[in-house]
Amino acid sequence: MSVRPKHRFWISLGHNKLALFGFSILFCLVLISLSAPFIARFNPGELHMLKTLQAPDADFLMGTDEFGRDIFSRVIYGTRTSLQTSLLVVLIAGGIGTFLGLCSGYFSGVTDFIIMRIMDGLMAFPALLLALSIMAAFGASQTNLILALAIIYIPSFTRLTRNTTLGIRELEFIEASKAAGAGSLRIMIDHVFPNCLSPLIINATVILGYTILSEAALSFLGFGSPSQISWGTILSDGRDYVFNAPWISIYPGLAISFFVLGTNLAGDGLRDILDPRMQ
Amino acid sequence: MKQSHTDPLLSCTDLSIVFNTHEGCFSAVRHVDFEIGHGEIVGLVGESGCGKSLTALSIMGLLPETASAHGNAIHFEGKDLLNINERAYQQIRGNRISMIFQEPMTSLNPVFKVGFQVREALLLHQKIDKTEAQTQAISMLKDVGIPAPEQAYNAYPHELSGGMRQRVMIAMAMCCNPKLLIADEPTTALDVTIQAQIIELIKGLVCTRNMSVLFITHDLGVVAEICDRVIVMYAGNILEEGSVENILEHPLHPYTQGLLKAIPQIDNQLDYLHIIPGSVPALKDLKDMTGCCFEPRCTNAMDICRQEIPGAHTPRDNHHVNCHLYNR
Amino acid sequence: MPTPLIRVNELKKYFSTDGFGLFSKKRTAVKALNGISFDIYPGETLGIVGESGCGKSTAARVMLRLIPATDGSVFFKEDNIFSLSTGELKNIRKKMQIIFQDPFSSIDPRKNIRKIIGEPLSIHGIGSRKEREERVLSLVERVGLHKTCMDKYPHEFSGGQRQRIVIARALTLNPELIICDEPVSALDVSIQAQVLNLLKELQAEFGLTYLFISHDLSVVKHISDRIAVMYLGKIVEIAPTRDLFETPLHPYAISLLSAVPVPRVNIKRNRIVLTGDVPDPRHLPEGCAFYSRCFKRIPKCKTIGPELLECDPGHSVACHVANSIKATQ
Repeated sequence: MSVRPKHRFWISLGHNKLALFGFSILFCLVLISLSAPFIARFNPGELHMLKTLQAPDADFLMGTDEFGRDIFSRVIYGTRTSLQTSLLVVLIAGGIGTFLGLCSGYFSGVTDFIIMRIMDGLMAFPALLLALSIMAAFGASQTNLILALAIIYIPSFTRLTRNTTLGIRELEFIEASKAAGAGSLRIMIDHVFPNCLSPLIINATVILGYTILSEAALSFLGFGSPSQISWGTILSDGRDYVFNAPWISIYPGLAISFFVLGTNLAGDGLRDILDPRMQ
Repeated sequence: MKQSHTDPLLSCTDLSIVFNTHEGCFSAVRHVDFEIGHGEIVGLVGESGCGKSLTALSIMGLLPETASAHGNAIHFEGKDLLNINERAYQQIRGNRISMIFQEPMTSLNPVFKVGFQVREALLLHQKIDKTEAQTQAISMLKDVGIPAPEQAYNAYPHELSGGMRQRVMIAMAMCCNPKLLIADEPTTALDVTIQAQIIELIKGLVCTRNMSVLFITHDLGVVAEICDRVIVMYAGNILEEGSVENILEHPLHPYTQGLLKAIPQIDNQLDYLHIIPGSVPALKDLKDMTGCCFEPRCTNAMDICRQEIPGAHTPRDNHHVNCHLYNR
Repeated sequence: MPTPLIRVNELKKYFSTDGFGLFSKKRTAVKALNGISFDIYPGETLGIVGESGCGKSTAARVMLRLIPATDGSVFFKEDNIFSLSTGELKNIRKKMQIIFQDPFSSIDPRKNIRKIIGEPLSIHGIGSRKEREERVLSLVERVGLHKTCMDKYPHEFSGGQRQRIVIARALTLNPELIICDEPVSALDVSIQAQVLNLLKELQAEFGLTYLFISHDLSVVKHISDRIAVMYLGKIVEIAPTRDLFETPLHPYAISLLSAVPVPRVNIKRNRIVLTGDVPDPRHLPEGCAFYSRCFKRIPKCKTIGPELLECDPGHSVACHVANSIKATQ
């Protein structure tokens, strides 16, 4: 009975309590976002003008904002937007970054030089300023937000993939493939990329956390798209009411914290599980 | 060949080393007994997984966290090494017992100069000042045959060749005049011509300093060059032990015989090499074995081999073997 | 004399040690291969022996065009490997395969054995799925592994078993030449014997030609028909195995042979222990590369590099004093 690497992963995950906890948090959040219509009591945009700025009570579990909207429902629906945004950012940044990193690491020379200088350029800008400039230039929509954040995180994936590729490239099984007649593209896709997956996945979980925070920051600064309900926009709405209605900001803040905690624990756990066993 | 007529320098009785994992406890070394006499070079020979490195590490008290040593005693200079604390061990390591390893590049710290590291070894165990330590270090580098020792003192490990780095390791190990040097595959990573030089160096040091050496290797040719006595290990057990002449010229255990026949020899030509069928059992499988650990691969296996662990026999002087073939 | 399968001519490979250094004026080159020439005949095993830094592994890689050569040519039958187009090269690659030393890094840890051994077939688009399956199965069994191996992953096998997998992979495309780069150096003695026997059997069965690279003289002697001794990027002696061991002529070969430890106690050996270290490959001396450690040197050796000249049928040496050494034997 051979134990495939994938099966070993699940077995090891069972042993690592913290990682399990982290993944559980993420799993719960995903469930919540999928079942939002069933959990939320009210429509997130529904106004209750008689109950504005009310503290949490039996009806409004997390209180209401200045328009009488139920914070709890808004946070629940916001989970969707926030998770979706961060996932898309990671997928886009990861996809582009990994591809560039593979080319850069495998081909070296001029290709490497050009790609890394572009990355250096991107990294030279303070991340949020870069996102702000892009949003300012192209308008404040959710799509632009996602693209702007994706651009910020491309260098992280590129560098990681490039460094891993540099190491793998020297291993003999790569030479063996070449000796058998395989071309560069085939080697990159078939051999190098699968061996880069472990560090990439770990990096992805970390970037998920960063993305949420960046998105919250951007929304807080007023650059989020106004029509979307995300944790960041809710947090931002509560900016003016921090003293008299703190619950407007606290609960989305807690949600963000939970999410980041989950991604960090999951990422740490993944590193413990994936790396030593692969030796 | 030296015969020691006094008490041995190191005496190890009933040593076992066990790994504790979440899958259970596995014995990597089982009930091993051996002695090292004064001024003697003892070879500990075996293939991968036989437990020779672990045995050496247990003498030094450097077993990995997951492993623990049990047994009767390891007697050295009046102490039982199985029963001393870490502090006492630190007095012994580098001072009375030194160890050198296979890969000199990873055993030396790449960011410190070589001389600094040799000096450190001196300062740890002797109450001398830095200048005196430097002088002794340079003298030590000269003793191990490094040309231009003052220049080497100021060099970084990566600036020296493999052979030179191994000499530095030996210098570090020797600087406090240990009584016992444990050498774990010190020449395996070196070229043949450099290996010859290092072997000559160690032999010279043994003579001039009346030191003993536990020389761990898988290479029987090197054993012939340097050892007085040989211990053959397999899967955590000692199978055979004796003078180098007895072991290499008149091997008794089927494993030793098979090993010698499997080596391509420079002075004879065979079309196909004799092979020992199968491979070394995994630790998990060893646990379930009731008889001799070599039985599954042994061409001379009898029924009793599967049932009982063979006891030690001494068919001739300075030659012990653990094998049912020699039951009286 | 049959036509050679491989003809290597004045092969050179220099590694430049400076990258983009803007401020470095000196560009020192490591002369890994400094002009080697030899032939390999069909069906034979040519051994290449030498210590670290002599260039033997580089030679293997350059011959297969895994790294580009600096100069020289390598002919596989009538084709010059260095002047082939990518497509032609891919085709020739079917006929020349390589086995590496480290059984742990020479197979992809993330692929199962079926995919690993079948990869060459997939690269060249040979055979249907069923045919490939059959071919892989027959190879697995031929190298002495059980068919249940096909679905397993590399980490489940020992070093010796992995080396068999590597050999199976090398055989997939029915090559004519297999370059073995230290294939048994990382294996235990008892496993080493199994793998060497397997290589010999396969050679007899499939009519393979081997280029066997190793630092272990006993192993090379066991398997080779002819042996070339390399030192610092040059071939210093090349001869049929028996001749090399009975009458070595180059001082380096002589000292190498005398330094090999033999597991016998009662033999008298004339050990020649060389003094000094191997010179820095970035700053090779003018004349003979072995001058600094040679115990037979004459003043001429310091300035003039010796040529590889035939002194007996099939036995060539690169040494100014070879004839006088021969006379004393």
